[in-house]
Amino acid sequence: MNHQPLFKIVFNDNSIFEGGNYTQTKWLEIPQDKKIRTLFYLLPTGDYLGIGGFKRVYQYVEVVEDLNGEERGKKKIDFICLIIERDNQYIQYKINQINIGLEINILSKNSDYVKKLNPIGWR
Amino acid sequence: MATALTVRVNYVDADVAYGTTPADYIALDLTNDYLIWTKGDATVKDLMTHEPTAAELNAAAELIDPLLAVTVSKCLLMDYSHDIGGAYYTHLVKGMSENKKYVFAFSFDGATATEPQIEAWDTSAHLTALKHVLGAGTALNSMMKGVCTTTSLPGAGWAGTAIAGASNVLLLNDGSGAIAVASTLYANLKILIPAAYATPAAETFVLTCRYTYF
Repeated sequence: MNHQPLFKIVFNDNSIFEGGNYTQTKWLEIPQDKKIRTLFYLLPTGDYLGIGGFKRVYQYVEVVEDLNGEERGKKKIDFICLIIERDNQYIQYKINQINIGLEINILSKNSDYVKKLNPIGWR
Repeated sequence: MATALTVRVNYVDADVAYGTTPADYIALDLTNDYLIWTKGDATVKDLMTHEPTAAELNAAAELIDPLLAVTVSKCLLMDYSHDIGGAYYTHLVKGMSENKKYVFAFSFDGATATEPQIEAWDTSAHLTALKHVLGAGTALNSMMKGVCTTTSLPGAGWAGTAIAGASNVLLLNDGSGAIAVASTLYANLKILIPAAYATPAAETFVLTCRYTYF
């Protein structure tokens, strides 16, 4: 059982917020009145991915649930997605939970995908 | 907590929403229940009193027509617990393939971060879509068709989106993006077999709902 927090956030005032687990990430509980300096996000290997220097950051857990077949009814985490906003672009980090790996994509400022995200997730 | 999904099918009146008439819907126990697409016959039908065997399902299969595309006639919910309305194992999904809005319901108990979607794959590994029913490698040719009916009727003779693999998916919120609060989204689904399709097959494939939470 992995008891490492899903993420750790260091704010500009050096205070720290720790995330929960895959079921209850606590992402929406991150205080919004403080500027995030660095985000450390748990990788399937047990290491943390450190990201900083962004305007704001978004996180979600993506799951697949089969309606039929051998694994129907199992809620499987496919990947965790982090999106950071910089001046001229968004950078997407897809942390693959099934086929362990990290995929990094550059998204344009006008990305339709970004526009359709639920805005409550930005921190 | 993570947002949870409940999948339901309408087995009474496909003109009424789950929110107004929940009794018209059966929630799928996704671990045990499943959907059967069939032409049906005197044995494989609505309100069966046993779980259909493979031989019975093969005997009731839809036939390829040499001249016309054929929509698989029926979708049955195989209810493993057989405890709805009597000891029945199967229930006909009402409105499947028709100009009906409230057929397949996808209820989320909280917000999502992105728009939920339906996908179709060869297996639960979600890696390939090469089966005949999924277009044999050409996603646009998938026989599995779907239409989002969350906001409107699909229209008479709806064509729908060919569902197969990662590129051809059915968005459940009409392309409007994530859902902000707990919601029920709707779709209609059907299997359309092309005329004179050269390869008869009894294939299983996997329908998947992909969604997100914070």
